[in-house]
Amino acid sequence: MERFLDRYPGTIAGLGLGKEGKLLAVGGQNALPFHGFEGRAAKPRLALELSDREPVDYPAGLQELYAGVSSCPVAWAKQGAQELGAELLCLNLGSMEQDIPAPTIAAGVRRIAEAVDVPLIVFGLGDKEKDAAVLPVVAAECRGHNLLLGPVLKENYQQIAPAALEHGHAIIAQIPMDINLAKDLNIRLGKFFPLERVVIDPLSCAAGYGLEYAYSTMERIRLAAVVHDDKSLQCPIIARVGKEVWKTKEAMQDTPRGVLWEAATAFTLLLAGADLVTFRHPESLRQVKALVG
Amino acid sequence: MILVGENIQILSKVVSAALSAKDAAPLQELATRQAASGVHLIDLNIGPARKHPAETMTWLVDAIQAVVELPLSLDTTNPVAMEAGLAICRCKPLINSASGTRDSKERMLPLAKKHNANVVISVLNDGGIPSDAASRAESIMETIDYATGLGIPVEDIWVDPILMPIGVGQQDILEAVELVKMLPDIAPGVKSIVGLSNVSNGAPRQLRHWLNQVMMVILEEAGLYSAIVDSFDQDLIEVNAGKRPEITSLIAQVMDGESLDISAMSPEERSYYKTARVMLGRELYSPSWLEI
Repeated sequence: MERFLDRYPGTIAGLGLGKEGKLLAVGGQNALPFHGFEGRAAKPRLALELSDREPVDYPAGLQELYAGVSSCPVAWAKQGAQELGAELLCLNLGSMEQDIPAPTIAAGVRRIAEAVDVPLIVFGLGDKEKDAAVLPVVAAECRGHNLLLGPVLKENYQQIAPAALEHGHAIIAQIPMDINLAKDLNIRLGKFFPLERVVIDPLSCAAGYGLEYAYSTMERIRLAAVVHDDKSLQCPIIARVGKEVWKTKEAMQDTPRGVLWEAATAFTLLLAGADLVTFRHPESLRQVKALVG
Repeated sequence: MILVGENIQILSKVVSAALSAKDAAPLQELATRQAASGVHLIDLNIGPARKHPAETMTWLVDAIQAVVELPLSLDTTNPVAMEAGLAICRCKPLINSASGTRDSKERMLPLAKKHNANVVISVLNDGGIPSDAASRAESIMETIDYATGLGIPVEDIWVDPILMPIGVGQQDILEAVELVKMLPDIAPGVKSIVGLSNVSNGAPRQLRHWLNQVMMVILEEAGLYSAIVDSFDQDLIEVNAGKRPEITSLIAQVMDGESLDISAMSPEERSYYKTARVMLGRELYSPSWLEI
């Protein structure tokens, strides 16, 4: 059979996350998602979410699942990495919503990073001032753990990115579903921060809640990077699926339905170009892993 | 190219305050400064004018005609205000604007015939703004047929392909340019016009003039007849008057796809070059397009 294959000019930067000797590769492909037959494919990386405080935004079904560990973030992280088979973890800094000093929060992140072998993604609140105050402290405290730290916004990149650079972490550049603004933030970052250490978060939506907008933005970013060789957008993309899905009423009312919702949303965004996807339920992570593996 | 000065418009705080206070002086000053800058028509944008539409427009037209000789472009979506203004214009005015929507066909277009005015007709129709050049052409042909059926001469019709902001869609701009190129073939005799500044809507304020000027040159090469512009962009007026041939020729070279040596360019030329590349869709737009 005759085969019609495309070759693309652009390559997504390959990023190594985690401790020396235990690096996990993200990105590095020179083809469109699942087009491994046309070039070098990247392995999608699936992360399990946890929080550094007892989660208040998890529905009962999820609360129950993590009931034994959710009061101890270190135990929660170990369970995710060792029993539930996550290849990386995504720590949401729920503690920032309380009045806890930044050094205390940072020390907690370091204990989690030290307790597991898998790499850690660390998400602040998305509040430009609070994140600018806390994330640089986390960066300094966790030196050597090679975290993926974010979100870095156009309003606070000048405070967070230099600390991440100094202490050897990668960052998440977040923009609200707009390819032009994604490019803009990366151009600004690129003046002092290596773009091959940046992951783009164009924001995600759950199925039924605007998923098509998230899909379209990710797809356009990836096409610009790979097909049109736009150097400023050749970064891996992250989709925070768990956080979005488990606040929908469909998932909250019915956990098995939530698992399907999370898996379907995640797989859809992998098709659009996401390289890193976060989950809150281990079963949906397993299902997607089986699908893409 | 014929330039229509856009600076008397209701979204400006100075203008809206002067209009509601019936204070002619600031408006007359804006009109005389625009006339002095070299534009050919003065646009009077009073918005939808829900309160006292006829009185507002006649007062404004009288105030402006007292100080400038230029023809006026009457810019309102309110047909009552439009008709009141048309009735007292000394020079042949421009209706800004009509479209292919049912409401506009029934209430705005007949005014062009009745008052012997030029009329801007946009590609908008009841289905919205058509996406590509072909569907824009289809929409405008339908409206042109309707307008000529009313007895409006083709040379009084100024087609507006609708220029969208570059941050909304780069491809969309190219479709509008394409329609301008197609017009002489599909509708011989009609003129064309764009609201130029819309292309840079949403871009950083201090950089908007780069986008506006480059867009003007690209559209002029495509055959555009007229543009509604910022009268106080002196560089733009000079480029249009042919006083900056090196800039026009640089942009034309980018359009032709010639490979140019950026290192030999002055900082100003480099900015025009980079702007032309994003405008032509060769480089993905971002608000910091001049910095790479």
